[in-house]
This record gives sequence, structure tokens and C-alpha cells, in this order.
Amino acid sequence: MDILAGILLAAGLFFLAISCLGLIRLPDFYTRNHAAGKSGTLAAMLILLGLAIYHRFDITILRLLIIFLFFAVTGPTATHVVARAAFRMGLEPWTLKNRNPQFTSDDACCDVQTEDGEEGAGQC
Amino acid sequence: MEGFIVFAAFFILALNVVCFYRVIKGPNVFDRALAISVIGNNTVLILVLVGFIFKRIDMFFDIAVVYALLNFILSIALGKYFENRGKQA
Repeated sequence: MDILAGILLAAGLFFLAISCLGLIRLPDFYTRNHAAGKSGTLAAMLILLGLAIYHRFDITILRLLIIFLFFAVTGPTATHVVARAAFRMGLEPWTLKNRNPQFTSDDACCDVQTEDGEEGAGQC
Repeated sequence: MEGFIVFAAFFILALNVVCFYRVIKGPNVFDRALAISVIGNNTVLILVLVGFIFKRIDMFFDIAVVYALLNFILSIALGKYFENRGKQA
């Protein structure tokens, strides 16, 4: 039983490392969101399942089940809301032609300095 | 197994430090929001693991539930705020 819990915990740590690697290495916001959302949720659920098996399923493990269900519901929801907000604000996705994605509207975000150049093809 | 749980907690802490690069370097505000959300999720996992290390599962699980709820509300609020701002512009 401990071996199964250890395997699940190690798998969770592996997917968590994959999630952080994708967050650092991928080229634009949408791909980073993809990596962090899916892999992070799977890693959290694997780690919580491993800990539940390690603790031998008594009554206090119901609270761990609450955190498990909470991750299953809120992880994809938060990812979707942030990605939809970025799309509706006009953040262009990374393509082969557009290597430096920016916002399409000028006053969209104060954090991005807009260099004048070719305007993007996408409109929101 | 206890040693592996301690190792897992420190490993997730190291991953949090790595994710903080995206908070500092991120080109726009959504990258920063995403990185903060990932760090919050990892912190919930660290809290659960710390509850197993210190054998105080009930107390640390309540703290983890509250932290997960706050993290979720942060993401939703940021998304709604910037979405309405995009429609206005």
C-alpha cells in the first residue's frame, strides 16, 4: 500500500515538474496556460490520491476528498476564465509569422509597450 | 515514506521558486496571473504535505481548503476584471 502511494506521489511530482517546465519554456500565454492548467490539475489530484491511500482511508480523509473535488472543479474553471479574458482583450496567439505576440488594441494593457510595426491579423 | 513526503514538500517549494521567474519576467499581466495561480496550487499541496509531516491533518486541511478557495477567487476576479476592461476599450 505504501508502494502504491509512493508511486502516485512520484507521478504527481513528475507532472508538477512538467507543469513548471511548460510555464517557463513555452512561447506565449495560451500555450503556457495549456501546460499549467492540465498538468497542474492532474498532478494535484495524483498527489492527493497518493496521500489518501497512504493514510488508509479513515474519516478524516473526507476532507482530503473535498480538496480533491475542489481541484477537479476549480482548476479547469480558473484556466478557462483567464484564457477567455486574454482572448477578449485581444492578445494574439503565437504563430510562425508572429513571433512576438502583443495586444491588438493600443490601450489594452499598461504592462506591454507596443512597438509600432505590422498590425496583427486577429481582431476580437 | 515520511522522508519521501518531506522530500516532496521541498521539491514543490523548489518548483515554486522556479515558477516565480514567470511572475517577474512575464510579458503581460495574464502571464503573471497564471504564474501566481500555479504557485497558489502548489502551496495548497505543500500545506497538505506539511499536515502529514506534523501529524495535524485536520488543522492543516482546513487551512488548505481556505487557501484553495482564495486562490480560485483571485483567478476569477482577475479574469472578470480584465474581460470587462477589454469590452470597454
